[in-house]
Amino acid sequence: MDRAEKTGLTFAIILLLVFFSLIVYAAKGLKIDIPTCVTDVEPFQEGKLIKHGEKRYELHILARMWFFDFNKGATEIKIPAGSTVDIFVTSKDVVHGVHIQGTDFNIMAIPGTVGYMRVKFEKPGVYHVVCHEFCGVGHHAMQGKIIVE
Amino acid sequence: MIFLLPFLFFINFLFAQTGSTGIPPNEAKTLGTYVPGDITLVDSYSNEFKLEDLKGKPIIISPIYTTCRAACPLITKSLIKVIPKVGIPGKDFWVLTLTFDPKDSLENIKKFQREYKIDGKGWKVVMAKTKKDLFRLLDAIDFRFMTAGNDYIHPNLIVLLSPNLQIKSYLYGVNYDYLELLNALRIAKGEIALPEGFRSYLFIIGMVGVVATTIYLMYILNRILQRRKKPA
Repeated sequence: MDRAEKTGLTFAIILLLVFFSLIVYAAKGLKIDIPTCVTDVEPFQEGKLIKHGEKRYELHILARMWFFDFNKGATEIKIPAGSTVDIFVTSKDVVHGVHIQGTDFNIMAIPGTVGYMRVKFEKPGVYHVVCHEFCGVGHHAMQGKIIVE
Repeated sequence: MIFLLPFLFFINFLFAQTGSTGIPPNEAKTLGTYVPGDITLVDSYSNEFKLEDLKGKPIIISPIYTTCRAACPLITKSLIKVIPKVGIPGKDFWVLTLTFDPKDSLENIKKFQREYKIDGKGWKVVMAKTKKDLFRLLDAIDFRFMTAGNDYIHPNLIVLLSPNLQIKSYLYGVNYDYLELLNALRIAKGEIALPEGFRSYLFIIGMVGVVATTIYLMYILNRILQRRKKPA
């Protein structure tokens, strides 16, 4: 092996290790909330916004061709500012993506499994939700709104 | 090499996965932190008390919901079997069977206590007084659930707190082993301890070990292959 090649390889491996340990540190040390996949569950068939308490919600997003079902067919929901929302995502038909702009919520909606992440909506405003996984002819129009008041 | 790497990763994830069903709590986030003492709970005799009133003895919290038909009865039955073996609730430790269902009422927990013949004094069946307190407690132990019709998908676990409300350990599953519980209680009492700050880095250390082993194996394999090539 050429000496330059060897140095390059060693350097690449070291860099990979550094990045990997940074990821692990971010997840474990900085205590960042990691999205989870709930696999041992029968996925829900309908979008639902469940209020558990004051500023405490559970949101079941059903992604389907070509809209997001947030609450019994509604593509727009309203929640008060400062709410903690447990968001569960699944798909009724094909693979979709769910990205809530302005938050780090970015999860694939896969039929058969449920994706999960907790989001706290601190700032009031309109949070647009877009599908970022090509899912058919209506993909470009697949969007929703979470209005935080 | 192609088979070895996935195998090593498989082993790694086998040990990394500690949760059971539902969304497992992030232990790295909660272990070593304190549960707020001013959370008000109501027991099945309608007595209100604060969590800090229980200070001085370790606390075993078992989150359930009373209308559960699957895991929660199993958890409770398993605890009924194993608790008398490790000590007397109320004297050696407290046991709180806590309903996490925001819809549960006082009637529900009274019925639950009678049904399982729990004494309700040393071993209390409790609900939070307000929903705010409920979620403060659930967030403190990082307990998350998902609504599925009238039921909930939730991890099966019990949490052990130290006498001054520090979260010490989690036990998973619906069957609790006598020795495991005894050990967890000793950890909760502070008789044996793993440094809390160190615990969240166990995974990194494991990972570094796996990567180092992999690289070493690659190096060794490479050398063996090189040696074989030379004579030819």
